[in-house]
Amino acid sequence: MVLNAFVESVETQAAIAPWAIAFEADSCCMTYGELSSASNAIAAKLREMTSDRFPVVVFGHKDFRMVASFLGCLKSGHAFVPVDVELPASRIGDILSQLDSPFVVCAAPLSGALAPYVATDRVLDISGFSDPAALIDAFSGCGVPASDTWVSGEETQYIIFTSGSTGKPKGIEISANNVCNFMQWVRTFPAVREGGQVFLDQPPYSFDLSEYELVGALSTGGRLHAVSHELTADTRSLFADLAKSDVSVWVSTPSFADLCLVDPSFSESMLPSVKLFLFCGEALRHATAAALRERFPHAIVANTYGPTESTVAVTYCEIGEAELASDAPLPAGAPRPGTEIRICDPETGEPCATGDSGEIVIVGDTVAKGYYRNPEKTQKAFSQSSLCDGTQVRAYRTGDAGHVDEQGVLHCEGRFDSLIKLHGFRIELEDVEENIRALRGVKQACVVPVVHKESIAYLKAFIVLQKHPDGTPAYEEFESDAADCAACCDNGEGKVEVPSKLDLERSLKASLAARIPEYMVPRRFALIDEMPLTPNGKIDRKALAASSRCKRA
Amino acid sequence: MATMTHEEVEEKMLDMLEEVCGDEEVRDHRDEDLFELGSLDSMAAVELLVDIEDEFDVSIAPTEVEREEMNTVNLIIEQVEKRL
Repeated sequence: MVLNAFVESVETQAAIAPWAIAFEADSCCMTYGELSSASNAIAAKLREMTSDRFPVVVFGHKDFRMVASFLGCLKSGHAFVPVDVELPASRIGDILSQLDSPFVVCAAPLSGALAPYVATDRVLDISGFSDPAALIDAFSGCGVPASDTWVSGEETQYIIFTSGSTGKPKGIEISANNVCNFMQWVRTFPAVREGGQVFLDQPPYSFDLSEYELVGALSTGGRLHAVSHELTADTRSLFADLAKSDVSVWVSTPSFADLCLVDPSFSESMLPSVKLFLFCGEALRHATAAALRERFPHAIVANTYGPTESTVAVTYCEIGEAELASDAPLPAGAPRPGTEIRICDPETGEPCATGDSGEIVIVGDTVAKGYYRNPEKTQKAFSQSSLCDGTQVRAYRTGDAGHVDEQGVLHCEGRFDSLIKLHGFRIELEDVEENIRALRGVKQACVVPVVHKESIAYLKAFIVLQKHPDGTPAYEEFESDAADCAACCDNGEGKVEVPSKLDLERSLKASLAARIPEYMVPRRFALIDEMPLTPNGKIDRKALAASSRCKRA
Repeated sequence: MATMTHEEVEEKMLDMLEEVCGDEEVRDHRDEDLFELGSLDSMAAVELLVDIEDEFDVSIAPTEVEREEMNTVNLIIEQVEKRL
């Protein structure tokens, strides 16, 4: 019996071709042999320092230490919790407190702001090792854990924290079996099935889209070509890097492809080896798919769909002339073997007729175990079910709207609740609102998505400030965590100057960026006197959304 | 297109920037770095370039211009006018 088919297949690659490159970024490379040894070394060190099998946080960015640590956790019997350095300290603090002072592997140095959340004897700092050999050397004295120590079966392989409606992130627990079942499917994809492909490794590891390339590449002898956050921000350097990369399987959000497509040099002549564009994380637009097919006539453009709760993705669809000829939103595709898609009435849970719209329910062997230490939320969204052949599996109510056509192809139609996708990141609007309301001086907050050209362009926050008894806004209450806050100063004579709108926005953004990830911070803030209400006395989101429609749309 | 006056281009660009940045204040801060102000981020910059192409039929590749040459309202307008 295979204990963990994913770890096993990485080890097989390391045995067959130890010299093959598993990971590359900037100037640093790691071969399969080094990945195997480095992860053994980390696993051994972890066993020495921890006797439990609790989740371990892996903190860092796009480098070889992260990838080796993920595998090292699995080999030492720990689920890994990827936490990207780009997340604000208080958000990371929320994750660490939910995990109850977890053990932390630092692939990047911990900032001072995180120190209070981490016990000094519960840290393995590997940030100082600049190459795999140094890391392997340093821990060479530790014994390698046997394969029966590995994370296996229904044990949790990883926990991904995503935006939750209470203002605190929630952890989704994916089992070893989930990942193995997902892996069997990914290995059937075009290009991937040939083995030895070069995968673009762009999404942060704290975003489960990255599991596409981690699992897809490392289980098939492929190479991860990682691009960092800094590199992504500078198109010129990014393109110079991509042009040398030999990437053959492109994994990203459609938004990232849009960003690249703006430049005419992003084409087959720059990336002649691309065989497959694999998208997930948000709706793929006609314009994006059409432009890619034109610029990369020899590549397959594939749309996939799936929430983090069902292990990256569960449907697949290649976008060709027929799909592009129709005006309808591009299809999400047919479910993978082992998954059945059911469309149900969101109120009653009763199945809908074929072709009718309802809530998308995913039933299958990649549905997550649930939300970490949150039985209430887990019970609301997850249940036990069975596939048509009688196999017992879990089911997950996605909250996504959609329908399945007569060919069995899924079409997505948006959300029923306040969870939205912005540039591929899932965001609970209530999470953003809770965090704005937590700022001093803010009384009420409502966040609405602003739609431009078929997709959400940005978030806009409507804010009501706390007021004095005479009705004037209490600007002096307003306080920013940012050092250069110009919005909230006393002018020294006991009178508060009315800050400019721009200063207020800047300090709101700065305060908020210290609490929630950058992608969740609204681009626009509007201060209003009071919230418009519906006849039922709720905040009238529709009215606010209508007032922020794009004028030039 | 070629007959557009400087004022017309400017007005169109200001409307566009106001929309993309989501902020009418950009009109009053024409020489300040929009990235530092927090009015533009990389996704907004891409939207802007796409909109400029739609509106003026002018394409500016992100790789052909340094960020420092196109990070304020006035510099953006200048880059567009150069290509009209």
